[in-house]
Amino acid sequence: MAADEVITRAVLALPEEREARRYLQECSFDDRLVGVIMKASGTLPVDIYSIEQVLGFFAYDNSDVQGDPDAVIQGRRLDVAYLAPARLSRWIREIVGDAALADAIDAEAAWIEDPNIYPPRMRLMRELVATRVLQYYDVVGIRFAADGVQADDDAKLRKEQ
Amino acid sequence: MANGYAGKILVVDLSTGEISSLNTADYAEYGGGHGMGSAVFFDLCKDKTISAYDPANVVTLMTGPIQGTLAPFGAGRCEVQGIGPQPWPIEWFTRSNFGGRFAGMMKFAGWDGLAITGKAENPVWIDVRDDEVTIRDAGESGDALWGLGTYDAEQKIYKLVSGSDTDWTMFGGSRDSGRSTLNPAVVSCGQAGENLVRFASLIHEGGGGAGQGGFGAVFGSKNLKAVSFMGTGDIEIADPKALMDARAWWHANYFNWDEYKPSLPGLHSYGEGGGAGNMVGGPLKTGGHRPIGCMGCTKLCHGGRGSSAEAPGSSCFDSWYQAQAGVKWGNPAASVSNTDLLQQYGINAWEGSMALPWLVKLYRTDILGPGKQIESNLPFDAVGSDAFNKAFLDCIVNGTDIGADLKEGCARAATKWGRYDIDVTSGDLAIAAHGYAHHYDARTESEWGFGTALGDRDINEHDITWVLYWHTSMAPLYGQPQALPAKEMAEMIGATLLPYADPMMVDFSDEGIYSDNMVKFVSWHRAYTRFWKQSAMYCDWGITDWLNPWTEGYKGLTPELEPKFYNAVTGNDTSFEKGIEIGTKIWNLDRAIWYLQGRTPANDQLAEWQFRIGTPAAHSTYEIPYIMTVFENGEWSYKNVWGRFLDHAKYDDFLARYYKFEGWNDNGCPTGETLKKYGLDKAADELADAGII
Repeated sequence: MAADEVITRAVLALPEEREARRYLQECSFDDRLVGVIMKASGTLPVDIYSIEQVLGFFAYDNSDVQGDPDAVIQGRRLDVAYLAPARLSRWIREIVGDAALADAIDAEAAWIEDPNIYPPRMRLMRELVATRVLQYYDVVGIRFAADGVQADDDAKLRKEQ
Repeated sequence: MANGYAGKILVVDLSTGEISSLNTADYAEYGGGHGMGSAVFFDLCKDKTISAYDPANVVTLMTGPIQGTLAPFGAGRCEVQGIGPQPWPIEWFTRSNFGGRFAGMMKFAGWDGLAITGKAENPVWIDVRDDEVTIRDAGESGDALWGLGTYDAEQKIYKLVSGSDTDWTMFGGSRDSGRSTLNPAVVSCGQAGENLVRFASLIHEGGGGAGQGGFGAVFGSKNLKAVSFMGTGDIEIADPKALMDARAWWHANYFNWDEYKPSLPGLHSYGEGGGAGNMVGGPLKTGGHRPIGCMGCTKLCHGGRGSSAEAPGSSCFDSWYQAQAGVKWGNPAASVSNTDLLQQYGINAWEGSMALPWLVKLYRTDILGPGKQIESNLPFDAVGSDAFNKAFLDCIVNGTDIGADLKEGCARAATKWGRYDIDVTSGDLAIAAHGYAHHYDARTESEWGFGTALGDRDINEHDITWVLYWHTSMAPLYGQPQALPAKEMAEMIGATLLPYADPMMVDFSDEGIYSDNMVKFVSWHRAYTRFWKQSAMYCDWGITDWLNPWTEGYKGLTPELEPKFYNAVTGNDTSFEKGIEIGTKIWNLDRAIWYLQGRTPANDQLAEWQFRIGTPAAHSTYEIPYIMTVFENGEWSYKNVWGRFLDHAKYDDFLARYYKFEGWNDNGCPTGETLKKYGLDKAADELADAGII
């Protein structure tokens, strides 16, 4: 069973280049976001210093395999990358500075049946953040390969910028 | 002997080259595994105050009666013990454990265990083929194993022993080209062990590893690269029909393969699903899984073992160790390639997992870096990349850059850098106890945290946590009801806590975690795991079966399962309760050894941050469901206990009552009377001779 298609309703206006560059910056240690990868073998707190790292964090999640016999029997795994939605939107608003994205994360909760059920909520958050980060890349001029791997030159370019 | 035992324990003195044996029967009262290992260590290591790297240190690799048989979850386990360099501040007599084929092959070769003492003059490896035991040259003048990674050493030993070019990750190609399961079973240290990295692992077949304790470095200190067993014998068991019946009973009740029922989120029979699942090993370059995990097991956590995929057989934290430091989007491959490097070097992933977020904090707060208080030229701006992880592991193995200090472990490095008190108080360096990384939480799950503090290492025993954290916390995340009401859950588990049979033992309320009931539960848990998991050696990820979706009322197969296989193999009539009694005996023997090493009540403390911090002090920190059973105001309920922290006075009071419950003195040392009650007269005498009791 593939994960349900994630449809977000928010339409975010492209940020200015200057804004996008600011949103992509890493934050300080004190301003970091802490998520936790919930695994049956142990809870794993993860420090998150940038909006891109939110996506790196969510990439560990496979909570949508639940209920899929093949995935569970063969993969035998259920890892939940847990970020309390309210904390994520607050961090994006206050530290990353992207109020539009934070508003969208809050607003999307109204469109799902039960915002307290985590897996669909996480997929919405992940989709929104991913869409937004790709907007940043587009505005700033960072190429993003289809396999999700940024070219080293691009990463270097971004640092220099 | 038709009782599962091979009958003898191999003893190798690397200083003299002498090879001898002990009679297993002299140690059979301990069952096997850990109990036997503790007793053998006690007898062979005359001075328990020596360091881990002293040639007189004795490292044991023990099996028990069910290893190499059809008992599920047990056939492949091997217990490793000795004085370990990893624990801090004292190098405790400690333990680790790994699965795979090693234990079974040792039994097939006619040995129940191996005890290694002494130090070879030059690098060697031990080649055991049935009764033929050879100490072979591992240096350049001989088989040239020294300096190799663990995978490479294993591959070379395969060729040396079997004379074929069989890929060590495979069984050979076709039947006609020599496919065979009769391959040497090898355990080795990597370059980390050779270079005395205190958290160096022993690695067997890629993902099988004795990670905790630093036994890779003990091998290295002895100039011992590897041990290989090749056995052509068999194991006589007491009642083959009873064993087959037990296996059929288990198969019918433990997990219904034909009718998968994911009735509730995360709810699987204990050994069927869950966290130690196959995360990296199989579906990579070669695709799919090989039909082998640990010997005799159907779970196949290490489903990639035997595969030629990258990171073969690796699962769990060996593939996740760098995740905590912040991994960028689009760099998932780092996990796999760096797992390979980690396993080849033979490094314990948990230490890296703790070190990285702490080091990144030091870097980001301008304490560590070029020209900083802690000088380092590691590329911390590229954390999460292949390049960083290679540089990080290289510096540890080679003792360069900050690796010169980190190879001693985070606790010792932090002490040297003047950071220990600051960072362990803030929790930025998440040591739980004895220098070991935080795992499950003393603040929420006292049996885990308190049991760790009272012992020698992170206990790493996923039983109550599976039922009362994982299932109970997953249910609300998915908007599902709990499997059972809290009262029924506590009563169902409590009924299995023999001989006490008391549901109050699983009260994890704010008061419950310090109660006399928790004293009893921690004591029971230490004894249960010491015997049934570490001496009978059922895999930690196979039992305890407390909650099972395929049985009436979700009732698991514990406590029926544990003795059923053990008795079929041994012909004994060992009850579940008798196992608890033997486990208590072993726990007391271990505790006596620690006191001979210089233990005091101060060593039973947990690191300070667990008394001060509910959650990390970040801008936005984590709050997770940590749902456990609590008994409050006369009623059972499920409650999120996340966010609380411990109280010093209550914890100290808990310890005092725990000591009394166990029959220990005010200093926490088993009394002579207690030790003699369990037949541990030699331990009592040695403690008395040392003036400790």
